[in-house]
Amino acid sequence: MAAGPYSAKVMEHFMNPRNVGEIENADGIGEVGNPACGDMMRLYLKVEEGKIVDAKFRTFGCGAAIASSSMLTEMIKGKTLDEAKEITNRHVADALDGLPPVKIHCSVMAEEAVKAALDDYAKKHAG
Amino acid sequence: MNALPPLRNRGFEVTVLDVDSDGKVDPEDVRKAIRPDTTLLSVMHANSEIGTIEPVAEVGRIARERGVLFHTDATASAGHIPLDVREVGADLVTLSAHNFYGPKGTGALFVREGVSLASQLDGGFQERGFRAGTENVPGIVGMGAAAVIARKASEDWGRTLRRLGKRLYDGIEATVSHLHFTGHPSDRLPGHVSFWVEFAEGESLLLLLSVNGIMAASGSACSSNLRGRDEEDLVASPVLRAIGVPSDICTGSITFSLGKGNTEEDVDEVVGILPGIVQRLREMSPTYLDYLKKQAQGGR
Repeated sequence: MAAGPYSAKVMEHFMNPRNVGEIENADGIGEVGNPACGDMMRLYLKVEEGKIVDAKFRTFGCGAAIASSSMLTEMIKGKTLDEAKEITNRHVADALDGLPPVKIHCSVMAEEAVKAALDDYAKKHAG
Repeated sequence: MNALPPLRNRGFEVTVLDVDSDGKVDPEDVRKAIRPDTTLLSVMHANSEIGTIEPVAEVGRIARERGVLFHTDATASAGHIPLDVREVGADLVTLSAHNFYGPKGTGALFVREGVSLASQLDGGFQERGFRAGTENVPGIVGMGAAAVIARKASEDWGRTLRRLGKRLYDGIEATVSHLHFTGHPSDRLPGHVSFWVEFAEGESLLLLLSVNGIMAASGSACSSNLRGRDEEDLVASPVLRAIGVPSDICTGSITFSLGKGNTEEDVDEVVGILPGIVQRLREMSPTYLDYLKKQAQGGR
């Protein structure tokens, strides 16, 4: 069901978010946003042999922020690290059948979260 | 507040007064702020977002003493609580019909005799040249009929709404933790309950309430202007900022305004659903998780 400015897909992910939670001893953690700006996302990655085998998130934010987080975790699971690096906010927003213009920053947050988590992974596994 | 920048642009100086943490203006502050060249004082009768009723009678008295025009915005209060323009000493009162169950898109400006205003819309001679264009007769008649009904029934409505509002307040207070009610505890609109919660965001709360068939409002930045052009259009409500709600949690603000159609069952439904909705969002929130971890460590 579409609601207000949101697509049916956004509402579906908002109502039934995938992969909520945390991963113990995660291989990479990315935290972006700030509750003072209205939203904050923490992304946990489990990586095996250069592939993201599991992803979980916790997000404080509006419907679009939660839906973007949920969609992102679905998109990156099973991807190689290099493939995950290529994901942009545009991909996330498109996969959600679009976001209202004022909510594009929510998909940007998702992109930044995966980049931060991949950086964290690279730091932890350097050398 | 949005009327102020255009006034400034026309060269007027505007003094904006602070309110206390209940959102009330202190009449003494008003008295002190009046200058010899002050022309107009404006204090809203009641605030729609936090429900607080302002001391308009005292402010009106001060305005009269000092010979300053007094305007009050009764949009949120008209038809809900009495407002006697003579008692209050208001020279100008704005009100909107839909808030007392009249047709949307109609409203009124009360103008005390002897107050002359510049034309708002030039072109025609309607409304004594103040506002050009053919009058919206069906709207005017509808508003008048609604006003007659409200005048007769508002005392009854008020009694019922106060009772329902208390039921809602008590129910929410008993079931949702980390919740802060906003506005004045007793000087408030009947049936108006407003608060902010920690670790849950306002727009998400509204969405979950709305899929459960419950309509509420939020002063949160995220829900401020969903049809705006970019995120610059998202701003937390100035009301919440004025009463000192910390900006990082302004986001979880909710306003319930009950109306004459609401029943005890409606209230109980909200009280039954709200705690689960708040909890659901908190469990998704990293800030709540961190808070719980901190609590657990502190307990050791």
